[in-house]
Amino acid sequence: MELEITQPLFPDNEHERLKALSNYNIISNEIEAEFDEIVKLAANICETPIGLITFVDADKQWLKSKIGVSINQTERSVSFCTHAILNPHEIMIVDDAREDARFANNPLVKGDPNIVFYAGMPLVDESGYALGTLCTIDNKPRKLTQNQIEAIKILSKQVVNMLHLRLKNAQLTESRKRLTDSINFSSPYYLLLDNHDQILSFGINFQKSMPEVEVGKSFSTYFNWQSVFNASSLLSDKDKHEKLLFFESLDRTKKFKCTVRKNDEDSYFIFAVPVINTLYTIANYNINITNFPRQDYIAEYLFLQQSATRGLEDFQKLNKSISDKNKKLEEAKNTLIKANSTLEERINAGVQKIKNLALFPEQNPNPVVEIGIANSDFIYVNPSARRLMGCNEDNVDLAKIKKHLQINDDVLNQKNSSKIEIEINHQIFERNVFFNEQFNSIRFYLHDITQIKAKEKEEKLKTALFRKKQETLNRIRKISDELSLQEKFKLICKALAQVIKCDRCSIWLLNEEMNSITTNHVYLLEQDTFVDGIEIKYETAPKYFKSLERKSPLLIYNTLSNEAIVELSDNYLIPLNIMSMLNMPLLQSEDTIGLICCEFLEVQDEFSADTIAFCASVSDIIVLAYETEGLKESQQELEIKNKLLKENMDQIINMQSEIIDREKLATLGMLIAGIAHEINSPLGAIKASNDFLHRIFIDSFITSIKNLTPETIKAGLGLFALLDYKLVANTTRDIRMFQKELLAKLNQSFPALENKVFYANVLMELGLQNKSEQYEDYINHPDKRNIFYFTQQLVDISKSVNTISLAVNRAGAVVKALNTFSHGSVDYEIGSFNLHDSFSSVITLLWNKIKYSAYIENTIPKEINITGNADELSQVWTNIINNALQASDNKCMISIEYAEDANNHIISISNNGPAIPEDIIPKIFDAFFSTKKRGEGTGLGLNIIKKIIEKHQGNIVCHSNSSKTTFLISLPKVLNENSVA
Amino acid sequence: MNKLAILAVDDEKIILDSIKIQLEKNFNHKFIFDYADNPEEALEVIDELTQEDISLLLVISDYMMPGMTGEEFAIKVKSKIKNANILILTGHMSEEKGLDLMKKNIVLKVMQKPWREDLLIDFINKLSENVEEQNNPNR
Repeated sequence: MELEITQPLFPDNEHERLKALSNYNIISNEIEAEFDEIVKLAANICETPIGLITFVDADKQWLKSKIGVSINQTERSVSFCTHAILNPHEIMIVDDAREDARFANNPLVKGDPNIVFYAGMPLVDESGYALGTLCTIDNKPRKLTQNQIEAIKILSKQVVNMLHLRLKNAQLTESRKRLTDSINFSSPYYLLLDNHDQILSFGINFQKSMPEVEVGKSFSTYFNWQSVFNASSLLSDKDKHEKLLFFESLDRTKKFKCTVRKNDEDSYFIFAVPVINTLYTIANYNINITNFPRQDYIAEYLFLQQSATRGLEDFQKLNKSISDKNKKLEEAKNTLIKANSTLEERINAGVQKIKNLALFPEQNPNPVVEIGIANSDFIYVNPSARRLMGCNEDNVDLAKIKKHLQINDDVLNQKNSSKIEIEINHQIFERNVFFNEQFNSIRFYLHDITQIKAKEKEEKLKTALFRKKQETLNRIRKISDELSLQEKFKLICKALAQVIKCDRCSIWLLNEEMNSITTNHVYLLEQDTFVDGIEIKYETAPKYFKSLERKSPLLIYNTLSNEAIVELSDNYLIPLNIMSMLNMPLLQSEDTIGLICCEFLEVQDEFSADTIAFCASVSDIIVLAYETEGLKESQQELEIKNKLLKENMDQIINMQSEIIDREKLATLGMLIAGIAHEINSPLGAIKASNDFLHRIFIDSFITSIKNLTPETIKAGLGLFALLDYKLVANTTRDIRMFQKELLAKLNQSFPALENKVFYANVLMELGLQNKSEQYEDYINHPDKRNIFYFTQQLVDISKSVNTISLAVNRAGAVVKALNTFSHGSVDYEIGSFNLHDSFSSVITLLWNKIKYSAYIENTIPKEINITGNADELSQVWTNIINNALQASDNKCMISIEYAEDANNHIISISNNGPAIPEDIIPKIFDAFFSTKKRGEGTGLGLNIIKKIIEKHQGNIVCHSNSSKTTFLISLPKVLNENSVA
Repeated sequence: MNKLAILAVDDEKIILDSIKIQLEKNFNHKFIFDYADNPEEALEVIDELTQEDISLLLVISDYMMPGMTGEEFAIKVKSKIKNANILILTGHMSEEKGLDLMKKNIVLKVMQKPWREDLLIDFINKLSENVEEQNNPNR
């Protein structure tokens, strides 16, 4: 019969897969119980008659373990599993092979064993190769539940684990064999002894040499140690366990040299080689190796020892790994079985429970009530509900139940009411409503949610508390900045105490020296009042102060047993009955500035994280308030400073005008020395003249007149009448010259005249030195002496009077100039004044300086009047002229000139004194700029001049070169009155 | 014995006139009086007097004068006549400056303007007596 079946594809890694499969050496018909058990389990779980573990070889599929079938292998071409392994990580489920194109024509489907259902999970080893499957097969269609699929998957992994274990086991067996071979090969004489020196095994060669040796006998049955102690005791001493030892047969015919080596905790090896025809000595357990004649034995021994050690280590490692694996496997198996049964139990239990509960409300621990819709007399109440509502089976109070369950006709008619909450006997239930078609009734399930509700309530309370805290925080955050810091503290303390329910609440601040903390108020919760606070000094509680340095809250559950505050016990805690305490530090950046102190009169079990967090938030707010206070203070300070600044400013403004006044005074002061002299000189002259007049009149003039004849007086008056002031010598030089000339003339004309000097002086003072024709008569007069004497007195009087007049004029001029300069007016006046006179006054005042070596030329036309403040402008002229005089040491030519344009008077004051250096010209009008020595000038002169000129809406510039320095002042002809302050 | 001379120097005519009035009135013809209204001329007068072999009793000088100060003038006088007696009459010189000039023996005395006539006359009288004693110690 030709079969049309779909050939499966090969996995991509088929070649490597086959290689891996062959490594496992699994393909045999040997029955392995562990695998069979898993197959059984898989079939059970899936409720299928057939279960298999298959391995897919190159062209065959091997059924390693099987239930429900008897064949050992199939052709790969008809294998289901060969399809399954194409997707190594997924289970392949064929619900109905007859409907599946891949398998519909498969002989295994069409014929025995008539496969319909197939579920196969690939067995994937560590390297990812799908070696075969764990599969379950049925001859009718079925569907697997998720749990069943999970179980198959887990079991398939278990199969792989077992495969792995099996492989390792095989490797171990191999290795063990190799080891024994190796030991036998390398150490022909070995014995394995237990710790009691009983022989566990021995090498082949040993057997040949000592055929009588048997396993189970003691070492001492056959041998004697060539030393006083046995090998096992040597083993305990690490240093000696590789020593060469010797033993011999009891009949002393065979001798062996050996080393001993630990195998495991309970056994040890003796590796021996026979010693033949050898002489050897043993002295005090020490063997003189040089006495050994056969060096090759030693080399042999060392070689044996090394290889034996290596083999042993391998052996031990393998042993351990196998036992570990076994253990793990066992555990995994147990877990699996347990999990499986638990799963099953739970599924069963659950299903049963649901069934029971639905079918048998009797058993439902929750209250269930069923009420007929059509006939409301039909009522069923389960025991739980009966207990709840206090009725018994026979006496069901429908009304009461309806009331309890809040059942009305609507509920019964609606069939599908939503669930509601009801309360019965202080228990809260969720009432679920179901329509029971069978009986046309409504079934009410009550689900006890009392605890859930209680929890909800608790949560709500917590939320409320949290909200309260938040609100409190918000409230204290909003405490008005108008309040003082301590008032704020009071409000905060109160709010804090009320939220966290502490009996006493206070806020403490550290002083700047950090040696005292103070609170002004303590809030008492119970009394809802504040009491006065206290201060704690460092000296009284150094430990407590130390604790303040911490940046975290200090939680004291019992104040009686806390070291940090023990110092406060007697005077604070005990009298106030404080049992617990929560101290929250106030931290400004990193520094503790104080603390919040919450005190409790009862021992607290715990401060909740919430409470601490709340206190921390409050502490932040307090610090903020504290900082705000600081800011407020500095702001106030700033305001005070501002005020002071403003006052200073006003003072400076006042001072400025004062300085301007002073500058004027300084100018005056500068003038005063000169002015004093200018006035003193005339005064001196007046005094001298006056004294003279006085004396002449009293002492001589009147007396002499009395003695004179009228003729003489007449002649003297005649002579005096000749006085011509214009001809009187003005300078001492002229006087001397005239005197000499007159003397010469008199000598010539009147050689006999006595006291010619006298006559010459009188004539000279009359200005008659060249008018001999006028005076000759008088000299020839017989009473000439009296006439001349009288005339001289008249001349002297006249001269004195003249001098007084002159002096008075001089002093008057100075006073007038002074008056012009200072104007004598306190008020600031703008008016018209004569420019020429203004300069003349200044020149008069400066005359004392000018007269010696300066020359000043006032070329201003006399008719020019200008408008302005005469005082201030005089100050300007004075300053400029005085500067020129000072700069040139009073030796310069000063020229004052006038020009005008349509709108401006232009006044130029120039001098030929030293030039002003070019670099300082731009600075000369700056305040406090001065080239004069300290004390000579304020440095304000030119600055004030500029201000004055600007006040007069004019301007001033300065040009200077080596020949001339000129100040050009321009003043408007018409002032804008409003802008002249 | 020759008369001694007194020379007065002041640039202010009215001052010089005042001095002249006071001197001539008090001493009449006891001394030879010479007047100069500027220091240069005064130095010339001194030279003239020296030529005429007239001894100088006193030079009365202003301080602030055109061309040179009283101090400069005094030094120049001293360079001509080593032990010349010089009186400064001044309107504006500080007391310190005056004392300094006296200490340095540049001038014999400083008097403030306006001066008291009696003090001036007294001073000249005493000076005259001293000089007479020095010249005629035996008398």
